[in-house]
Amino acid sequence: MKKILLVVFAVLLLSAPLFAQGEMESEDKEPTALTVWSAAAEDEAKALIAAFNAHHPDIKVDVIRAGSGELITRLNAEQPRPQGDILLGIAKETYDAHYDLFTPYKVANHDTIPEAVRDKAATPRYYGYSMPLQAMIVNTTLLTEDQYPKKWSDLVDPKYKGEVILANPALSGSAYSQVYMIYKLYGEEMLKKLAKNAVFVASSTAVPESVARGEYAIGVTGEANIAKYISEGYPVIYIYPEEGTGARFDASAIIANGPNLKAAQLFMDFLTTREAYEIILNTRQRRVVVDYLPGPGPLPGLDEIKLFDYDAAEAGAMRDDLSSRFSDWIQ
Amino acid sequence: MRKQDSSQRLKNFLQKDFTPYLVFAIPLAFLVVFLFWPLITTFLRAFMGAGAKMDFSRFGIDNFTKFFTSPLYQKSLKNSFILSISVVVFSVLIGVPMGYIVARVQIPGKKLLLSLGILPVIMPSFVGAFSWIILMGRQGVARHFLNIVLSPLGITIPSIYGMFGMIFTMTLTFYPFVFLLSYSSFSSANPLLEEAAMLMGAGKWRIFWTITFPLILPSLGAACLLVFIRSIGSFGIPAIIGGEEYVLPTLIYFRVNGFWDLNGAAAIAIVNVIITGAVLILQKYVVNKRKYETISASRSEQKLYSNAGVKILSSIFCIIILIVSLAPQITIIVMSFFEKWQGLFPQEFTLANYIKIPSASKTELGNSLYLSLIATFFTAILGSIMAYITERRRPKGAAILDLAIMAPFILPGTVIAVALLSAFSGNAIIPLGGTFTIIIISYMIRRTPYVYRSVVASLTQLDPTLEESSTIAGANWFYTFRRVSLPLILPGIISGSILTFSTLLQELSTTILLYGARTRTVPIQIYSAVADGKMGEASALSVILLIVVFIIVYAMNSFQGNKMVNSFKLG
Repeated sequence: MKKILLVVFAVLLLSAPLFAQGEMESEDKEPTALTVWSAAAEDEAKALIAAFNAHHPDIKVDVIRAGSGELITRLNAEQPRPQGDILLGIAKETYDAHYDLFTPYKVANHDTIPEAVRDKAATPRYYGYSMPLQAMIVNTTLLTEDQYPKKWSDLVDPKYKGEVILANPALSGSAYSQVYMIYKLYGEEMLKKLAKNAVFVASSTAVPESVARGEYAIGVTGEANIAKYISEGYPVIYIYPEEGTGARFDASAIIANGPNLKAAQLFMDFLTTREAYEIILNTRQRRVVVDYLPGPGPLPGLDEIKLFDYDAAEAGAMRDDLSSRFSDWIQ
Repeated sequence: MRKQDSSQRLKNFLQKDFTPYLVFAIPLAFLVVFLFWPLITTFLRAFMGAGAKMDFSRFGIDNFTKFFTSPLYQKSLKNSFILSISVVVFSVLIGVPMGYIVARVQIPGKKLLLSLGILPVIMPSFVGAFSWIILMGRQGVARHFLNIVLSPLGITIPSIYGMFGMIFTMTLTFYPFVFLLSYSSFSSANPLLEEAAMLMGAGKWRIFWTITFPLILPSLGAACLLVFIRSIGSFGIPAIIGGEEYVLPTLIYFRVNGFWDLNGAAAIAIVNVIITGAVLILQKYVVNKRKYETISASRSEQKLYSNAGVKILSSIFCIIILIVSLAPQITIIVMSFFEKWQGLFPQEFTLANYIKIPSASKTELGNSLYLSLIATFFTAILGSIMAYITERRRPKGAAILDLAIMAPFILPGTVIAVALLSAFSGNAIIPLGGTFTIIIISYMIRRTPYVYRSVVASLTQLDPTLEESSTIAGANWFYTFRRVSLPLILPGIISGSILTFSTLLQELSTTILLYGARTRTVPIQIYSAVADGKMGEASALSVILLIVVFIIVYAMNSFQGNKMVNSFKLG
């Protein structure tokens, strides 16, 4: 008797995987489900989905929230049949690097999206979402106005030694873009000086947080982070470098071979509407890619910011080499 | 003659008790499918070119040569060594005296001390590291007031960033392993030996160094090993506090999140495993060099110090260490009642962080409890059976089995999660993507070492003659196991399960790659809140987890005395 009980127990242990309820794909005409993998903030994704559901109440949308590095890792690991349908709000370069993992689809509002902020292919695989311009965040209690840095090249000024914080370029696409921009403007020697003058940390959220708390005086980060800390009343301001900042953008795309293609297409159509862009702009004060909307909250409009072309292809090709060498200069 | 011999053999074979083999086969099959396969793919990955693909045409050792060519890799390796060894040394310096005091001095509130003592270990590291910045950063509140107090003496406390800060915070996080384990050996060491030495006229120090210390050496070795493993594998503290002092886990994080280079990450992880393996062997060598007096069943009362001066000094020492090491937990409790904490003090008192938990986190709390409980239950069974096999049956290759069970403990969670995802999602034979099952399996293979080590430790202390006499008296294997072995190792199973459960409640690195919409857990929610800058919300959720763990640990301490600490034994 006891023996049987033990065997039952053991069988239970082994058969645990069989309890898995494999989600059956429904071949219904009308789509009913959608899974969004989101690198965007929780409230932003929720607001978008609420608005989407107002148009398509029958589609139940699930959100998986994680960092872009985790989402891409997961996407690669789940090949050839990933569990997600939409990848929301990660850097354009990332899509270029994993181009085959996304499905081409021409959205209904295709013509309202400038070519510069979408995939250049006739049937694009990704469309622009937000524009995380990189700018300097400066703590106004640690520095007086005449001490503020104005240009990228000020970051190597010895008077700021130990006061400048950046994320290590090996950490993420946006951290790398900061270093790459300085490299494009001033070349390798400048980067070596920067490596010595600034502190390069292994956590990108630590950068704006540290400046807002007054741990460091100057940081380089996405402008939305600066807007957030300004709105929350921290003693910080934004400075867009005089040389200009690279015109980079985050995008969204349909994951190839996801479970709900049709719902995913409807969601892409929605993401490229004025309504969706207004939500992205207003929920977290993030700059959007369309030119018919203004700059977010406390931040200036695009007409007041000097931009320069950011060659994502060249940046991506150099990335491994440049960021490895850069990390070695830090040491 | 020959024929008769073989038929006799067949007869013997059929009469043999097969229950143990059946019982052993099932967990072994589980391990082959869900543990060996991921480990093998991880090992193979390390030898492939950069990227996420398994590509045998690019087989080579490029991922490893970086350790010889790149200053970044060399510096990180060096930092990892300095950090882990320093943390071990300081943990011993704090933990051993504290264990000695709680075991041998008559002070009040021992149960509370022991229960609070484990809390530093079970703090989600990203929240913990951040609260150290609130306390000891350049604008840190504790540092500010300490500097005011110390300024007449001309001392200024440096801010926490860098190697010093990492050693400081990690020591305070991981010293409980040494504290709890040395406490258990000090309190269970046979006092007759010390008394004998005293009668022969040995001084107190001489007794400590020649009798007491050798007695606790095996436990101390195990504790040091555990502290070493945990500190060499920690990413949260170096990422937030380390500044530019990178360590091996930083490199792994860069490879995975910056470059999607799983193969490069696997190589770094394997270097980490090799280092740990070497330390494991060293520890076994040091501990096994001599034969130790084992803990006997019959024991006489230990003499406790009751001198008032000793009692007061000891209490002060323990309280100071406890308060300093629980500072992050205290900070988080305070922060959970406020909107933000930007300067010296927190601002805007609120209860909103707690009020919204029932509605916003109901599913997550349920999932966390459900996943951790089920995984703990199966881990307890798996870990005990595996421990029984390696310890009692000692099959060929027991050492390999041992290392294989320990490996997921050392490997980063991301690496395990990716191995499981590649094997069991997509078009896999057993598709598990997005299910509760895949999370439970990942929890099981990552945490089995707790129960496994705990039961191995119980079994080594347990004389096999007890089981032999039961068999000789005619009991079959199953009866012996159930009536003799199981009751004796039960405390070990329970204490291992407690540790498994408490650490699973806060598991993030594997869950974040494996969770689906239905399987979201509280740590995912904490991660999200931290990423969105809602520290108050993140703190409130962390406090809930801390309370759950504290209640369980306190109940266990009251229920089974000091047995809990057995699960730390790694010998």
